[in-house]
Formats: sequence, C-alpha cells, structure tokens
Amino acid sequence: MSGKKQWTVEQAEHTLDQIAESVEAAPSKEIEEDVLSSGGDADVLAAQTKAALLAGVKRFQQRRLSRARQRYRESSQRIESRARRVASSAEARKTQFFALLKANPNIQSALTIQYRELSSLTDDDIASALEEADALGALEEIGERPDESKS
Amino acid sequence: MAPDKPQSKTEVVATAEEIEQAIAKLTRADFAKLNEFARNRAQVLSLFGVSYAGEDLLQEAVISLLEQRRHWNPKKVDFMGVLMGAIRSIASNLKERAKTTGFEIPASQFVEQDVDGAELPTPVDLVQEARLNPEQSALVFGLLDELQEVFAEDPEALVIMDGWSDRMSGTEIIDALGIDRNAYETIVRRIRRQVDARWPRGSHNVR
Repeated sequence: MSGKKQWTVEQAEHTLDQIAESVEAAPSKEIEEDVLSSGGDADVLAAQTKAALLAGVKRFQQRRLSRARQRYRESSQRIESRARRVASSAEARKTQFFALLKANPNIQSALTIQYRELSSLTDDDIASALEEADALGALEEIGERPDESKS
Repeated sequence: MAPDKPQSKTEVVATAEEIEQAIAKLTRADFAKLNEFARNRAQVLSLFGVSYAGEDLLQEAVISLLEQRRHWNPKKVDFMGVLMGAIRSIASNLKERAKTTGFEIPASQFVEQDVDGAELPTPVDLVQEARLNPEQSALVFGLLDELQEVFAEDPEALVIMDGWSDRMSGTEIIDALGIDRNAYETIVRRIRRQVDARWPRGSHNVR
C-alpha cells in the first residue's frame, strides 16, 4: 500500500458500523471461536461480561434502595414534625385543645354533640382529637405550641 | 434516550427477576458476542470524544431495561437481541449528545453513597476524567491504518475496507465485487479478527 490513508470520522464510523453489523449477524459460536483463535480467554471474557451485566442489576437495586430510603426519611420527618406539634404534657395538651376549639367553633360543636360536656374528655380523647386536627392541618393554623410558650 | 414503549398498555414486559434469569442463561459464546458488540460501539464513541468502555454500555443496557426506559417482551424478542438493541441505542444517543452538548459520564463512574466518608468526585472531576484527548481518539484511526497494513497481502480484505471507507454498504460491495454473501462474510470475519486482536478489552482508553 502506498502511503497512509487519511481517515475521516465519518469513514471510520461507517467502517466500525459495518463490522458491528457483521458481529450482530454472526452466530455467537463464531465470535467465541474468533476470541479463542486470537489467543483470548473466553472464560475470563465471559466472566467479565457477565459481571458488567450483573453490575447493572446491582446498580439498579442500589438506586431503588436509595430512593426508598429517601422516601422513608422524608416520611419520618413529616411524622416527627407532626408529633412535635401536639403538646407533650397533659396540661399543655388541654391548653392547646381549647385554643383549637376557640379558633374552630365547628369542632367544638361536633365534640359537644359527641361528649355532651367537654369537661368529661380524658387526656387520651384530647390527644387523639389533637392528632386528628393536626392531620387536617388545624394545629398548624393556630400556630400555638404550649410547650414552647411555657419555656 | 427515547423510551422504547410497549406497543399496547396490556403488553407484558420483563420483570427484574426475568432479566436476572436471562443473564444467568447466557452462554460463554453469547457473552463473547455481547462483549464484541459493546466494544465496537465504544470504539465508535471514542471517535466522538466519549470515554465509554464496552462494559459501561453493557451495564447501562441492563439498567435501561430494569428502569423500563426500554422494554423487553420475552415472548417476542430474545434477550441477546434486546440487549444489543439497547447498547446500540444508548451508544447512538451518547454520540448525538456528544456532538451537541459535550461529554457523557458512564454510570459506573458515579458513586451512589459515601459509605466510608471519602470525598466524592465532583461532576467537574468526572468530566475531566471522561474527556479523551485527541491522541486517544486518534487511536481508532491508528487501528484502521494498522488494519490496512496488515491486509497489504490480502487484497480482498483491502477492497472491502476501501468500500467501507467510501460509505458503501455490505450489499453494495457484494454487488460491486460480484461475490456472494458468504464470501463477503468470510472476508469480514478476517477483518473482525484483526480488530479483535488489536483492541485491548475492558479499557476506556486504548493504549
């Protein structure tokens, strides 16, 4: 051959595309024979290729796990911040509860129908009502944290 | 990458377990073929400054199936076919993006979590590592030059390589030379073997 050919990117790409077509059309056995005839270790090659494919599976699982952890963290933070909005002592919960009723007369009338007298409510009833109100965003609206106001 | 959507909402696609099982069922010969194909696509990417090894493409092909960016219906398409299709498509998208927006970094070079508290590479570090210098991308041209020298005594192979460099397809070359498909494939196989022997495996940057 006289002198080196000056390859362009397009020529090189087309040449490699033609080789790829040939690889794709060839039976797997033929490619394996080529590896062996060129002195390659087909077992090592198979192990490396399998490892690369399985690394894809592992990576996918890691991403999925990472996303699940993230969702769990976010969900825990939401629950934690909600719990913090309900006062921690019975006395403070009572104060918070009446503040809630004052701000939401509808709740008061609903509870009066249910319990007749609000004074008969136990601390468990109050805590439960506060948690439900918090789930509806009512505690956030009154914006009062008796625990904080005491300290 | 454009998702390869199922043809209908009811079309069944493979689960992660089916994909793992399909990998487990591949033969040594299948792995050789997949490796060869992925390596070839990585060679093309290096022409465009994208530093991907064949292994990176294999890994991302599996991820694209698991994340259902590409779909595989085991009843319709064999696993080898869908994997090679995914590799081809990923490489093609990387090439197009490299031509318009710059470099791509293989997923294998990203670290998901800083388990040991080690400093993680920044995206800038990764891009600098992924960048091929002109000498490295020129190695593909070197490989093709080398092939022409190797085939100096093999005029059939040289004629086919000349046809390729003139952007001719296999069918056009077959017609022009008046040979049959088997004869063409036999000569191409000789070329393939030389490429195989001259391009180190499992490396981002050819030395």
